[in-house]
Amino acid sequence: MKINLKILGLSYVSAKDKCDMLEEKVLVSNMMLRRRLTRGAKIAIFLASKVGYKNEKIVFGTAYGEVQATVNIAESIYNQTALSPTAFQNSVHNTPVSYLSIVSNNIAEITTVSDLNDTSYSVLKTAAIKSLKGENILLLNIDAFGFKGLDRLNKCGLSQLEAGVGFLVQMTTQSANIFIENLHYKDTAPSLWQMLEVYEKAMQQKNPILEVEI
Amino acid sequence: MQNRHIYINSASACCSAGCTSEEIFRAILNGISGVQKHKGYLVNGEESAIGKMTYASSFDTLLLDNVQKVLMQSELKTFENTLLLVGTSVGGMTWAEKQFIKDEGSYENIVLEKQSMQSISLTLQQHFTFKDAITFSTACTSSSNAIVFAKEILEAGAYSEVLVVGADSISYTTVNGFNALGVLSKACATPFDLDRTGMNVAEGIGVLLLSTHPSDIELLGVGCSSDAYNITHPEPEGNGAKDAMSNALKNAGLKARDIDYINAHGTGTIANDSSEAQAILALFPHRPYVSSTKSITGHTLGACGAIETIISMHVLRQQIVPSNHNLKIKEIASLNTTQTNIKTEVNRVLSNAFAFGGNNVSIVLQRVVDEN
Repeated sequence: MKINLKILGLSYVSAKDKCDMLEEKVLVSNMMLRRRLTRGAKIAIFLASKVGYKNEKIVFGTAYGEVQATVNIAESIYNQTALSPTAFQNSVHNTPVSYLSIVSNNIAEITTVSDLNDTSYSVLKTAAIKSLKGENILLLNIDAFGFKGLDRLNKCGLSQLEAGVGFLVQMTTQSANIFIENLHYKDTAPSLWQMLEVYEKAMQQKNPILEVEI
Repeated sequence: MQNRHIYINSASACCSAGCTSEEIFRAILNGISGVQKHKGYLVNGEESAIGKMTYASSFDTLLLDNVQKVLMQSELKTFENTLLLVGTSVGGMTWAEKQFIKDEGSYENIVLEKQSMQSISLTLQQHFTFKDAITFSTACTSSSNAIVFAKEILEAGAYSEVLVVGADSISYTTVNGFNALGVLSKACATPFDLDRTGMNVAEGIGVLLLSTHPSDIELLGVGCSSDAYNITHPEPEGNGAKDAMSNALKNAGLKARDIDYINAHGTGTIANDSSEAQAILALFPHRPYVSSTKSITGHTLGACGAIETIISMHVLRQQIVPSNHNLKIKEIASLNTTQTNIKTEVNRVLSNAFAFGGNNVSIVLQRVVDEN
């Protein structure tokens, strides 16, 4: 089954260490809430703000989740010290989009998929099926994993430790002009590759239409 | 999208309360909880009341056995044309914690395939061939969201069969994490009780094969919503929970009065129970029976949606509404929380699951009566 998605808005961020200029002071006026945001949440809010997001349903993908919170928890367990409740509440994979829903007062459906290197294709497939009801869908694909000790895990030598791609899409019957070829981006986590490929190809099109094969 | 009916063709479950779904339902009816006190999980050295599976087989073996059982119960020979949807919130974290401790706090031997949320799916794919697979990880609604997607993709006609697997194992992270939030009970949970003491972290596996082939249980409706309120606390008036239930009813083409029994999320925390109770009272003026089965199974986190859907199938098949085990003093008298098992006609059940971040999912099942 093939579903064509019209890309209504697109955004991308990437950084070797930490993405700056995420405009969180502008996008999140509540200081207390802003201080609680994880790296993934800040990126999610930024990406959503750039695609014309108006509280649509969200399909989010992350392979590694909230790495900093997970590391803090693992070290507490190893050192037999009490866990931080904040680290725990921020450790689940849907944390970034939960914060986005709180910041934007979005009560729509949100789902999160996580398939390691296949994550970005899972985002596209899930969103394509959910678009069949005729609603616009926000797609977000983020991985942010800068933490002390990463060098032991980063065996493939990624140089972009934070990256995210966002699309606002709607189902269309128009012919597709973007087809996924599974290109590789060695500096970026493989969990973002298909979304990144679609972003690059969509940037070249006036009316980007993506074909998603389910 | 075509108007296809979606059915649950076969199912299997295990958790601390029982090694089969029949055993689990029997434990629920007999009030025999799988929640026990265990030492060695809390970093402060105290005992924790958790739903730990203490069977001879490992978690992975139980996972594979339950999937094999569903395959054997079905008319399929293989899963090679089946979509696998996994719902998990812990994934391979339990393995990663043990490895990290064994390696004295080093990440050197953490294998991402074994640590990640995809690890459950990868374990299954080593033993069975699936056409494709997607893992959902939305904390305690993980397998519920997998069921939602199963319905959507079957309705779209993209697959003929979808296998949903909800699986979460006990980890140091979840036991200590809920303890850090101050909601981990030191005893068996007592959802909806005035003197409730919190929730019990548990582990479990629920496996369902869904398709358009008719069976005695129809997946009639699914509904989702977000609270947009707080990262851990549910919206106190239950508006998010109400939206999910109301969306599920709409998706099912039902009115609130058509629901006979609600299998509540009912974790046993003040915040959850109160919010969920407000939502049920607001949406269901005819006061259907309500019970939480988590005092027997514990809170199996990302697996609870799948496991409680299977428990709801037993309610429909056996026409028995299970009691709220340990419910002594009802906090809210107007909520029709049952204190005994009730043999009654049950045609439609609504099952709730709510998660961190205000992620809400409701599922409506219907008993299909063979007119012949």
